[in-house]
Amino acid sequence: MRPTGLFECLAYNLANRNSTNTMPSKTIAKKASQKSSAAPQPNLKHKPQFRKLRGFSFDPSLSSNLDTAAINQRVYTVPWESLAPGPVGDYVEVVDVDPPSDAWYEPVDLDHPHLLAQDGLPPLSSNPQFHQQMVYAVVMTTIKNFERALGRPVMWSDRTPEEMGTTWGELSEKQKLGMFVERLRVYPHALREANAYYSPSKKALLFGYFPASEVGGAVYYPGGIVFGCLSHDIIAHETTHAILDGIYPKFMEVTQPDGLAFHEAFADIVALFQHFTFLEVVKHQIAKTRGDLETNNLLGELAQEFGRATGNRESLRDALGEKNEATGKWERRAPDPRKLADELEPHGRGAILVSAVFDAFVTIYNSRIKDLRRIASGGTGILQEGELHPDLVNRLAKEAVKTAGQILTMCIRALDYCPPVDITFGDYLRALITADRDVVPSDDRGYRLAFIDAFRQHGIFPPKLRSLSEESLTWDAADAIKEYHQIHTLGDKLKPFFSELGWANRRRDRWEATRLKRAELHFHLQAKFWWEFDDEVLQKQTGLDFTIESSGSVRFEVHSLWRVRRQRPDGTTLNQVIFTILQHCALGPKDNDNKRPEIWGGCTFIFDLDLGMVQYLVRKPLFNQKGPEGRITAAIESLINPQTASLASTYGMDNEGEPFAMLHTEY
Amino acid sequence: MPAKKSPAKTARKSAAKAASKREVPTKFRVRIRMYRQGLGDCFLLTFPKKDRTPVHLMIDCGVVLGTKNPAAIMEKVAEDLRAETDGKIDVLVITHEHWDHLSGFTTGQAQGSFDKIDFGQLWLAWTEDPKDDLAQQLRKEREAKKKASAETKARLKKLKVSPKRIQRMEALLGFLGIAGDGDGGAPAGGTQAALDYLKGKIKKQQTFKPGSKPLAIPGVDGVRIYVLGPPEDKTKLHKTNPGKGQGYGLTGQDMSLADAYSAALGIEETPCSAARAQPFAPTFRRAASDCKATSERYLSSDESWRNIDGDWLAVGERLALQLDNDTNNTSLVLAFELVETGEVLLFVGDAQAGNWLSWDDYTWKVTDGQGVKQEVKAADLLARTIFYKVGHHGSHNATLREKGLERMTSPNLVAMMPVDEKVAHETKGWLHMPLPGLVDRLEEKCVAFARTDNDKIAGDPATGLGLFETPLFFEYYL
Repeated sequence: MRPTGLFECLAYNLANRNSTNTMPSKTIAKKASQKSSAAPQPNLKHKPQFRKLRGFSFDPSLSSNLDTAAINQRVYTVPWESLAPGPVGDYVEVVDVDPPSDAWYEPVDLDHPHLLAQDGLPPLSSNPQFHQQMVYAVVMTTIKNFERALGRPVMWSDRTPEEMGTTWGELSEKQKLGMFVERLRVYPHALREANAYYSPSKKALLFGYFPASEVGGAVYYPGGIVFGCLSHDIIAHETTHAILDGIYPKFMEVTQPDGLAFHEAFADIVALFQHFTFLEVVKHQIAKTRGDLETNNLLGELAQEFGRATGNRESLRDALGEKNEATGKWERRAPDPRKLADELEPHGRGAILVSAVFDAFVTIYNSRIKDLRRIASGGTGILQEGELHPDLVNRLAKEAVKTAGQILTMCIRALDYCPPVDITFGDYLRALITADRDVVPSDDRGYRLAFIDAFRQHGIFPPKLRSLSEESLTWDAADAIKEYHQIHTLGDKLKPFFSELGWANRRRDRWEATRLKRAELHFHLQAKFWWEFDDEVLQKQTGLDFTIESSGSVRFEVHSLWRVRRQRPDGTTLNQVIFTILQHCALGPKDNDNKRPEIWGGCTFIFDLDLGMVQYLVRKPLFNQKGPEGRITAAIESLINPQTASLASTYGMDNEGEPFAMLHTEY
Repeated sequence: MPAKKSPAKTARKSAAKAASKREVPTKFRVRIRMYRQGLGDCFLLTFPKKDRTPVHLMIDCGVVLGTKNPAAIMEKVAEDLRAETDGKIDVLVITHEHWDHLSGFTTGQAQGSFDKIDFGQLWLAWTEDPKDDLAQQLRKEREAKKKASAETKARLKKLKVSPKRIQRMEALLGFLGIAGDGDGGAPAGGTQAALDYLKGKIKKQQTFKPGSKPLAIPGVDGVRIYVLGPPEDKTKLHKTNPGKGQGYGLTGQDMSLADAYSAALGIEETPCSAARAQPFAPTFRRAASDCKATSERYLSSDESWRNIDGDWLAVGERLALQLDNDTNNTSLVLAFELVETGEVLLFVGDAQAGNWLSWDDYTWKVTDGQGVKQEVKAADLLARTIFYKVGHHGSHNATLREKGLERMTSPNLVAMMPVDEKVAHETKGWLHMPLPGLVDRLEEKCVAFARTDNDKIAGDPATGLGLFETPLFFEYYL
């Protein structure tokens, strides 16, 4: 049995939210003893914490540019785990089969002493084994960032009975265990097109490659092959889709335009801020832009090579700004609060959210470096012309990296405070603010204010609030729950139940234990609480509709159950159990495909283990939603009138199996 | 809108009653006849000469693949055309090379009847001009994509992917008449054969470029024909959807990608060299047996659900879709202006967004009814449009809103849509054809709106307007 290296290391590392990427000293242990079957006891004495792997900071195109070549190589530091050739580890398995080229490529053995001794293979786009290494390094970096922010191991989404060709009722016990997906599969060379996607049904990332546009460009070699699996941004983006799907598999069940856009935006946010944590790159760009992150810089773009090589873009995403046709200069796009109402295409709409988060980042960064600018300018704050002093560059870069890391953590942590289905941007803002208040009660540097302001400027507000203050944005349930003593009672009963939740180190053990606990919780809720508290207030509080039933009992599903431990900067810990309950009901008669359109609703319960009470209820109600402003009414309307009818949907090509594939080719 | 509905209903009833009598006017400036063969276009325009003898101009003749008994239906249409025109049609316009606009001319359908009709001239878009360089290039691309699409379908079948995926692909290829097996038997050669037949049969042929000098119909005074599309611009031809930026999938630099893709399919004649066809040097390639660690994991039967053998073929499916849309965009778009009144009849074929958006590029210099020299723009023509042939059977991207329908401001606007919703939804799986929002807007905006799959004409008393309905066609007398 292998040790679950990654999470142990992270638990160790969780202690310091404010530390930036502080790397431990370079210790690479000899691994021979671990691998050999003759020595079943792993040598824990010299077990390394990290593995170092060389890779591109951006993508291969920046290596052909004299200015950026030096910063385009970096050493990724990922948590240590033993790897079989592939690489195949605890979380991912890279399978390098290339069906369009009818070829297999030999898997890289990163545990080989030769590769261990030199931080893996050198970055070379001509060597498929390096591709495997690069994909692995970036996927694991992304996983690491999620685990650091969430305080629990990343799990992939379960296979559903439908995906297994059966139904809930007919699942055998063995099949139930087979729903667990231990490793995300990664295919670095799966497609011959300018595309890459996460496949929810295969629990796999598929990357494509394609010949660059013949139209020519200064940055790439026309006709040369461009690989999606060599772009940090693309890998991080797709990995984020997979992780998000693991947390909220029903996020794809949407009834409004923010739903799909959120998946895209969030994946871009993670990719964007992750490369903002690469110190050497940030230093270089700070020097180039004289510390002004709002001017055009590599860090604000995503997937440059992919974008340029398709022939007509500067980068794949230009969420932050664009070239002014008149002046030929890049300009940061000014926020337009009205744009949100018109932009329904998922990427375009997602870009608004990305831009809002980036604005918050810039505000925070600027406020953090004010003193440095004054120190460096004799108190005026106006820096003199010419290049910045390297020491100043260094300090500015460290502030930028630190801020980016914190923003990334804030954005990821907010996921636990989201409704389990059909998220809107407004919900996300509220989740972000609430989560941050719980972990960092005193917001000395005004991070939350920066977020609220940036979202407001982009027209993102949650509806029906008294004001846009921090207090009213925080999920309001706390007071209401206190008034409604029944939920308090519920809390009292849940506390001992949750206290039994143990920690399991292996992800599979954790999954199995959680599955049993979920079933138990379902039983408890069904049998005990809901019969006792079958009243309107509880339905209103949770948004759950007790009239949705099958064979006499309320139909609902305890969808997920996480035990979370978060470290606060002041040294205390926040111990929570978060569980989500889902329900769905039919919206109308069966459509042409014999499918019944459905609407999903649910509630995220955030339970404080130390206080022993339900802290927040984040709901996406089905209860009482058939009125004029109800979710069900709105969903039925959007079903009848497909506002966003796309080309593909005219021909019935939408969403067959691969929802992200279509999103990513913009049809 | 709802308030209007009930009087409209009674009007429709009386319209239907009157139509059955068919007391049609004998004197008219133009008569438009829309045949009701199903999902497909066939129009006959009749203009009187000075001596009142009729001049006939016919636009397209086809019905979508998958229609039941297509031969019998198209025979009926062709025979009616022959009877109506005494076997002489002055001009035949073919808007674009799609099955649902051409199938009538195939041997499997009504070619026999058309043999007996004498066509004076054949009018085609510049994309059919064998001497035009861009047209040649487009044709070459089209052929490459056709092959890749057909091969994709064969591969999908071999891999036994979901039947839905194969049905979709067959429906798309059906437009080109190359669906082949299992789809009601498209004859060999498809649309190309139909077009070749017409080119062989009709000696006098003309191709037209947009923005060229307005045309006259031989023998008819007072009618000017403006050519609005297809655009002579590759980007616009590829633009199928309004609003969105150019996608980065296939629409950008299509050929290099299609090359790499068809190289992978093993189709010959791609300009892509053998080296380019592979992403890595040959030394890196392994057979499954030489790569056990990977292949055993991938090929294990427990893990077959993660198999990706068919995923890359999605490119071929999108190529077919793109090919289909590009062909729609090559539609010859004609605006017939009745010079005296300035009224315009607009026939757009199946033109999609890029075609529509290109019309503003042109200015025509003409002399108006009063003998005054004038400059005419597409916006003027749209503003004076009193008859609109709804593009692409009412799909979401073939009638532009702001730069299209909303510019048609005439209070006398009449629209006709050849469509069969049942076939579109059930046989083809095209769930948004016709687009409900578009239908609503047309019903609201037009004084009369007729669709071939509905006996009733929506709008004000239809007979008063000169609209008549029979089971075989709708007619509009002006």
